[in-house]
Amino acid sequence: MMIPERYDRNRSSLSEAQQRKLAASSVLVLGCGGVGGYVIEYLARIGVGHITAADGDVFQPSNLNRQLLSTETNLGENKAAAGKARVRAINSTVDYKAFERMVTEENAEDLMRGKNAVVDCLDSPRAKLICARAAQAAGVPFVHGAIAGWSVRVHTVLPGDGTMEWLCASSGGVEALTGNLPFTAAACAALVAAEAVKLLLGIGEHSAGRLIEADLLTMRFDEIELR
Amino acid sequence: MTVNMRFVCREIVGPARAGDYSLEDGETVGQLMAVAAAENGTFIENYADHVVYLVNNKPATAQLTLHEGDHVIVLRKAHGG
Repeated sequence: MMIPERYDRNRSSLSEAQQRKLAASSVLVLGCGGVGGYVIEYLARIGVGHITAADGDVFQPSNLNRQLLSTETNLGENKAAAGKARVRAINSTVDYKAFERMVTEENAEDLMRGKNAVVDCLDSPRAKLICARAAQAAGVPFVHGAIAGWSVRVHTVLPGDGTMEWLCASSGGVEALTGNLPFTAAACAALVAAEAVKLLLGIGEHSAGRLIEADLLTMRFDEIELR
Repeated sequence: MTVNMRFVCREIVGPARAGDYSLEDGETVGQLMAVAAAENGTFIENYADHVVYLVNNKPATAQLTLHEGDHVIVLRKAHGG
């Protein structure tokens, strides 16, 4: 099978076999806001063949500073649904499914079924924990992304790793105090999308067993080993 | 005893001093945080609601008793997307 011209600039970094593997891969993106909108964009552009995006929320004016899928003309529309038009415009070969409801304990495991990787771009610690548990139950790798103000966290959770139980202990994310900036969302998305692609292809090194923390204000990157 | 402390949560603790802190024997992670909060004066209100702890790179609670030479890392809880 010929690899389409649209992937020419992937070639030096990805082989034809890897490009085909991406086309056959299925990723679940949880949350289509600041981080999730960019993740959908990156996965569609690199050529992940099947993307399911879940978000029960609608766009509000306060999303316009950072959420790629939000525009002045789609305020009030569902975030996951907005991804469909964007993906169709970028890469019409991608099979994109929008799940236009919140992910809950009742539906999370079904959503994970058949996926090769899950990317966590959710904004609620409780929802993150529900989804991390469902990914554990389904045996699917879970790439955790989080932002607050100028700060980014990335951490890949493989089946059998209970880190999210600790990270999501009780409630309350600090982003309610810090806000979220556009480049912080994009930086986090770039890192988690790269993690997901490596997991899909079984290449490189990922952040399982480590927390990757970036502070874009001080341009300091920390790598914290977890035991 | 002396323990080493590192912060990876500038939004919560401000420009708090990393490094060695002195504690009484038997004191906990939570008591260390109180010492650091008092010394630095830069922690946000209700800071404990927003952080999690690693002691010697293992997840820990505020109730964990510390020992000489322990390394404590303070991190943000899971946050937004």
